[in-house]
Amino acid sequence: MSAQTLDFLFVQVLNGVAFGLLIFLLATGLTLIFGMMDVINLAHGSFYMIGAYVGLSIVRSTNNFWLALLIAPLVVAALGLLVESGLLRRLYNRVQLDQVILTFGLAYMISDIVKWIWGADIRSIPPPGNLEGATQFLGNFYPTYRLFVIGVGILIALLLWVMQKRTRIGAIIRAGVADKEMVSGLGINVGLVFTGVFTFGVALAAFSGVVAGPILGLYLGMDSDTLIIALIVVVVGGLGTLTGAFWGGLLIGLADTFGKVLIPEFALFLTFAVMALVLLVRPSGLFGRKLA
Amino acid sequence: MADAVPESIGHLAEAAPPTEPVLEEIRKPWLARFNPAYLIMLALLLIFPFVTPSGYSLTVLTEILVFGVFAMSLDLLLGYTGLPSFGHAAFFGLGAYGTAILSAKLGVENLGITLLVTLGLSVTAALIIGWLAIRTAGVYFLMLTLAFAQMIFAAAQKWTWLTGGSNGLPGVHKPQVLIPTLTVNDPKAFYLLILAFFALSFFCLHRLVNSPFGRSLIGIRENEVRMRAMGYNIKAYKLAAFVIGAAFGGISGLMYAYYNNFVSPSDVYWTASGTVLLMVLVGGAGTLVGPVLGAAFFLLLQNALSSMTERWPIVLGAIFIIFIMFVRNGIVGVWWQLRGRRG
Amino acid sequence: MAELLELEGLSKNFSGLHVLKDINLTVHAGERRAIIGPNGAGKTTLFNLVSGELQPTSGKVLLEGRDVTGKPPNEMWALGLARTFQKNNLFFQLTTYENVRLAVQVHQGYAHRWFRSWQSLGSVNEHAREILERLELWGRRDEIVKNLSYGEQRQLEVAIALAAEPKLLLLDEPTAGMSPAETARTIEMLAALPKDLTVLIIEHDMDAVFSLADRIAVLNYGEMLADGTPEAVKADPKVQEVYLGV
Repeated sequence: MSAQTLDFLFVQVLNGVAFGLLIFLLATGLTLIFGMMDVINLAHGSFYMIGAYVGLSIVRSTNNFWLALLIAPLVVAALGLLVESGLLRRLYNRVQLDQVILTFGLAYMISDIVKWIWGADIRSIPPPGNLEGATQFLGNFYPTYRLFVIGVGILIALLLWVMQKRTRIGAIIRAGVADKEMVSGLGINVGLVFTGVFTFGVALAAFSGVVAGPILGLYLGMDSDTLIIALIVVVVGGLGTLTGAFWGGLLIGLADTFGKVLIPEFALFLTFAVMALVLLVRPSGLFGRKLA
Repeated sequence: MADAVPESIGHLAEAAPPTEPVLEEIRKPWLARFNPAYLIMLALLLIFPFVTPSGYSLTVLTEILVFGVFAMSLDLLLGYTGLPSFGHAAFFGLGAYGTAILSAKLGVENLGITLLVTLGLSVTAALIIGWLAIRTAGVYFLMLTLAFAQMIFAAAQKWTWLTGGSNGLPGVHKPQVLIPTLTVNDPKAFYLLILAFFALSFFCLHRLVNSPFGRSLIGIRENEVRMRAMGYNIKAYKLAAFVIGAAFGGISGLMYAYYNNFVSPSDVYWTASGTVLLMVLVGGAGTLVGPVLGAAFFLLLQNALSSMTERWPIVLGAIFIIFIMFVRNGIVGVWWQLRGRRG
Repeated sequence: MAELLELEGLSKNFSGLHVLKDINLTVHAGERRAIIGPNGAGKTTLFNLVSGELQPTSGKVLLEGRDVTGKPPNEMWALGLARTFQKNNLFFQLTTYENVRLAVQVHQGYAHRWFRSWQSLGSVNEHAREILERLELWGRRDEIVKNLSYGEQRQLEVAIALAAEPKLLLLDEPTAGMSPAETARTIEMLAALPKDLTVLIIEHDMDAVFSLADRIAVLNYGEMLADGTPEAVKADPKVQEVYLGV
């Protein structure tokens, strides 16, 4: 293989990994919310979007990317708290479709609220000063910010992994995903856990929105586009599993990146075909538990 | 696995059978068997273009009829059979793009040919998608139909040579009906054509849901396990419902393409599937009339609000949320509660 | 008289737990046969083996001389066997009439007709009416099933079973949970069932059993304790021992 091909491969692989880790961050919230609460949060992309735009505003006014990274998720967490306790909670004893439709209605509203506040132009969050430009990495120059994204993604993945394996909260969530009634029977306030999972999930989505800002940009329709990708990752990786979100994210990220470059006309089509295939052949996903 | 099927209210209308002289039904003159309310409605719709002052209101009504058929076709799946499809825009899209490609790209003007091609596309796709999707249920069915619809979206978005890509396909001409010289360019004539499509679709679907087949679908929605035990071939019924719903979805797509003269990928995007689902639920699932009202509600509100404020999606979204939370049985459900029906 | 149903050496283990051991039972055509026994004796399991919900570990089920062991429920339904369940599994959101009509329309082969109005299916509606009248539910035909009393719902289960015009009817505790008045009505209704219909009934209510049954089989811990006419069973010392205090 020529040096050029190697370089090309190198760049694309890193791009794929960076993108994959971004959608892993996004998909984590979605998969936890589904695994724990049986809700497909169609507004997940909307929270991602709000996080990105709030981050944009903070960066624009304070010129501090790190502040945005901190504040935006908190703002969205508060929003998520309101949504879950005020709206979603009332539908828990209803049919699943109702909850899905509620989140859809919410997404519908949020989409326009964002347009109202921030306008319809395509925007981008400028990366922090010390992360601009390129760095030497394995003998090649590669955008520093993307390396940062990869770093953050892996860091968060490790943190989450430790949290779910070693902490009590993690155990509760793992147990809850496996068997809600059992957890409730053990005296744990399931309602509180639901609220916590939802709030955390959308906060993580907002966080990934800020991180993704400099790479993926901010535009009308980013909420629905992003939701679909997250959904694919969740389906392929396995509903309710963190491992699934991670490896599913990487898989889809790489597949999407290479697909766009190699077979641009069919990449999108094939992505959904894979999603359909997984749903038909192995609905529990790559890492999900086999459902009875 | 949590049940993803909504409680449909249609049974409240259809449940009470006429008790005594049932057999006399057959001997009544054909026209008298129709609910007079429907005939009055049809008459009103017929004279509307000739009594209305503005061409704009005619346009709105035309659009309502188009989406009315789309919503009714989904109701057959969702409201009557209990199949929570989140990918119905796929068939709408096939119908719309099929029509657009024939008209704008291939210059086919004949309505009959276009209709046949559209139906062929929708039915074929529905047989494949339906046969596969029926193997799943609940949330998985929902996501599977969404995935398939997105495949069609991907084709619409990326296969620029065929579909015009993200720019869509403009230049759809109004069709020729029966003979080459009869092109329905006049807005009133076009409206009457759309009305004819709507009336026929409503008539067919109405007969269908009130037939033994229709009652079987309702049975499947209500208690699939019991139906299977009684000897019903559940898969066959579900597939039939899926295909028929898809066929009428395709027809509504054809109507849309001719109405709008332009088709774009956003017409097939998953949010379109969500919107028509909302129309069905807001109007009242499982009632056939409900979804039409839901479509009317949505489009009228959209038109009324957009002239007042640019922020109409926020209001519309809020109304949807209110409906889902507090008016679950939709407009038709409210009407029945006012009239004092049980349930 | 021909044997409608024969059970030969029927046994069922659930991973080592012997729920039924070597059951031999015959039911004549037109007979009213009861199966009684304490809770956990294996009566419902026996029904499940006959109607196809469960596969026996060993033994045979013969319907009209034909081996039907292990056939699934919908095949057994088609062969003329109908059963009711301990737990009601009705269409709770539909009317009484509609519940029965759905069963009749598929039995008569009209379930798939898509163009005629369902109201115009004369034979379906007539047969549904017949059955509802026989079970004295015609007056409740327009009521949504979830609003029916428990006893009425149990009767509806029987109505649906009859809709398929079965040869053999399996009734699993039809009077369970009923008030004395409802029980009496049910006993009357069961006594009035057509004579050519064979009925196999699990029951706890001794009045019902002794007034209806031609022969009674007593199960205990999965084994056949006694089998014979009501008088013989009443007099059997083994049966008296088991039922002492019951």
